[in-house]
Amino acid sequence: MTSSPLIELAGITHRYGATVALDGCQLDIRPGEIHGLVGENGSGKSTVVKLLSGIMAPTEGTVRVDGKDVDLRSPTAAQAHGVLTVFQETLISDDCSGLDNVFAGTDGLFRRRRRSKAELELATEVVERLGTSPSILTASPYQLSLAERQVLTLTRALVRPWRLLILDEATSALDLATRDRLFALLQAERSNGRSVLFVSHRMDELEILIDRATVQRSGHTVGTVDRAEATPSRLLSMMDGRSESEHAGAATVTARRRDEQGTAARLCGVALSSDARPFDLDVRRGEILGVGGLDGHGAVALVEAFAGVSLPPKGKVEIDRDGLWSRVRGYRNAVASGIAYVPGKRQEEGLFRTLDVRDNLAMATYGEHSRLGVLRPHAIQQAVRAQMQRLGVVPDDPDYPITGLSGGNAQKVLVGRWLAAEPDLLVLNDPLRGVDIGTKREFYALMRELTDAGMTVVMLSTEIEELLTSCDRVAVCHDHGLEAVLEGDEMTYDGVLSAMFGQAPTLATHERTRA
Amino acid sequence: MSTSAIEQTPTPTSAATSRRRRGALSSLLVYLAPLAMFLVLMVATPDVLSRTGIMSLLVLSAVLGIAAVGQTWAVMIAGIDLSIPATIGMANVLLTTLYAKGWSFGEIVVLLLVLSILIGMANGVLSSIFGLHPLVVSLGVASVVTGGVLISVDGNTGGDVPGFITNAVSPRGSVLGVPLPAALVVWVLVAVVVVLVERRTVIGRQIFALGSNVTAARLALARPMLIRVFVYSAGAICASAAGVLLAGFSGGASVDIGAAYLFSTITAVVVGGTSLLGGAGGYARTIAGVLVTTEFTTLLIGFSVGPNMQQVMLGIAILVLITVYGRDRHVAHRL
Repeated sequence: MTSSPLIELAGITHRYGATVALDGCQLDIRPGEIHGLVGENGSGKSTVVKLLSGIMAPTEGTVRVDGKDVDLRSPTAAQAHGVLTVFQETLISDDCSGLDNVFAGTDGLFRRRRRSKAELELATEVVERLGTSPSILTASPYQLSLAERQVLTLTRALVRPWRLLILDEATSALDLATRDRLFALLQAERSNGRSVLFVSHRMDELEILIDRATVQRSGHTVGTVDRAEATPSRLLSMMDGRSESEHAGAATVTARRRDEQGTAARLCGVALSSDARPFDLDVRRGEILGVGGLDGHGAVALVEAFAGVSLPPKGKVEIDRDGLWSRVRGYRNAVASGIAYVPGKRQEEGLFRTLDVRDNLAMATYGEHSRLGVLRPHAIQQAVRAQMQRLGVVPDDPDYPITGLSGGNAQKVLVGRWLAAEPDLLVLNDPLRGVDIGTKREFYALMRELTDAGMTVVMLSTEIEELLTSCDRVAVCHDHGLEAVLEGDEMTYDGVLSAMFGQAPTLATHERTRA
Repeated sequence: MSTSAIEQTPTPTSAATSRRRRGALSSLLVYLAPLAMFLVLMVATPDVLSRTGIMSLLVLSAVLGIAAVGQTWAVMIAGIDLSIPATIGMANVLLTTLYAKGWSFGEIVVLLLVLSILIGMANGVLSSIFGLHPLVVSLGVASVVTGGVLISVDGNTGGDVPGFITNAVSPRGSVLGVPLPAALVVWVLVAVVVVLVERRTVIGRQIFALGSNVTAARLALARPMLIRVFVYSAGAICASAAGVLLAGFSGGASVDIGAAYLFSTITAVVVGGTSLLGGAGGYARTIAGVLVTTEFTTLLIGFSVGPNMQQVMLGIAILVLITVYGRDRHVAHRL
């Protein structure tokens, strides 16, 4: 094995406006190694992938291939250097065959009428090596499962002359058998001097596969470790900066209490799309109910139903108001019933970018702090200050423009907007996406404090880890139905993941569905 | 935890601080601009310095300022109001013709209030429920209003003007013995109310919220259609008041008398620095914009620039300003 790296990122810094996504990133991938890239969301992993794939150019720093400076200005340029990327999203066009999808972009300007026999043979060989039937090459992609679609995107990369294959969470859609076949294939190709950059949240996969791993935290490269050192607890402590011993107990420490104080809100016979199976779901008072599911499988519709933002096509949403069930008939009605909703897309649905922190925090409660429509500035100032202190908003200045705050602090302001309304049920739509780990911790602690005081929380998250560590129970949506409600021992990474893919653990004592 | 807080904050914080300083500087410039323009006026055309000259300037500013209330708020909710000239013309014609027919001033005011609210409702409701751009809606409403007024008076727009209206816009007019034209006093009162509504009422803050982010505003309990109806109604009421005051200048009336106010209200709003993208600015800035616009026009008249050339110069001024402000906003958006 040569010591000169196949590809090297030296002192890479990348900014989006004022946001520093990568700060002095160092990464070298040797020929013939499988290199792990790990880090929390927002640590800069996906920026590294985008830079290597030629999707973006770095603001500062050098990219070297075989020791020579290169400019990966486009995906085509990256492919010319043998860098191929497979993303988590299965980028497949339903309008052409599997085979056409595999060779998309290789024809030049005009599309050829027919694929050559050699191309078919090459694709067939790769598909079979992945343990999948070659029929997926001729079938219409819309008939294929998510896993089969992902096999197509993998094949698309593997049929090309690749030297570095980047797998960006690309295994999450695969079934276990296919995943193991893929790993075997990667390990075999390693001896041909080919390398893999493996980006994953799955500690078990990293452990069996990688030769070395590089850890990112908040845009910085924490370091690169060899296989022997790359234990899950070591990687986790590098990822979030806590000590290893803290991590040893972390998974089991989370207190999962269950208050027998009854039901705070419930869905009765709700269907999340007109042809989906209806289900019931109760939210217990004082619990944090996590909501998960793959994109487009109804998780967003579920939290929006609780918040009255969009009413489900079938069934009813009810909230307990002093012992009486009150039906949620719309958004304003939900707010009046003591429900608060923190939307998911911070920029599009949450922030008033032209206004200051005070307006952003108090807008929804201005009505309460007014007499005959005239504001009471003193009361507002007090309320705003109280929320900012409780949430630890930095800087501590209500006159500050909201665009001057970091993502985490802006999110605190949005949560504060609705905490100020003192709701009984707080519905959060992926509140911590792209938020730094420090803010996340503060936020988990705050949610515990609130639920201890009797508030009930429904929280959607796209991160399984987050659902496991911060929630009492996890409701998982699949195909616009409720696949499982996991609690206690059932709340495992694999349990949630399986449910997301429609494989609810058979032992799960989830809410019975009304057929 | 503490280290991550330290790492996270410095970059955005310092950027925002400098942006805020730049913001404070630009608003200071906006409020100093009328004074600077006045100095230019003093040097270039010294005869404007007479009491009558200054009062004329202020009365013209008052009419433009009152007409520009609606435009300011419409722009703040990321809309625009093209029905202001038609509303001015409506008030102007109805006042003179109905007064000549023996209606009392009070009755005419009530009628104008009702019609103004109807215009506001048409603008606000149509631009909400059909998702039409207010540009198209208010243009359509303007056409209906002008046509409707001409039909109702049979094309005969002449009439009488109450003497106190003539007096209100006279540079030598007085209010309760104080030697100030009534139009000016009305403008000051309107300005105080408008600025207080913007800053100290729920609907005022919701105007900013709606212009900033419609979805977020709705989720924060603002009612977009109600706010639009409020904004366009208030604008139409003020435009009617401007139309009534304009009757005092000429004595005659015309449905087209407000034509010049389409461009001059937008100029005043833009010169004041209220972003055409909505969600920022305010009437206090428009006051400065109104004074600068009126002073600029007076300066052009002082140099014997004809009305057509004035149009050209105002047009160039607004294009330059929009270019400057537009650039600033794009930079802000990149953050």
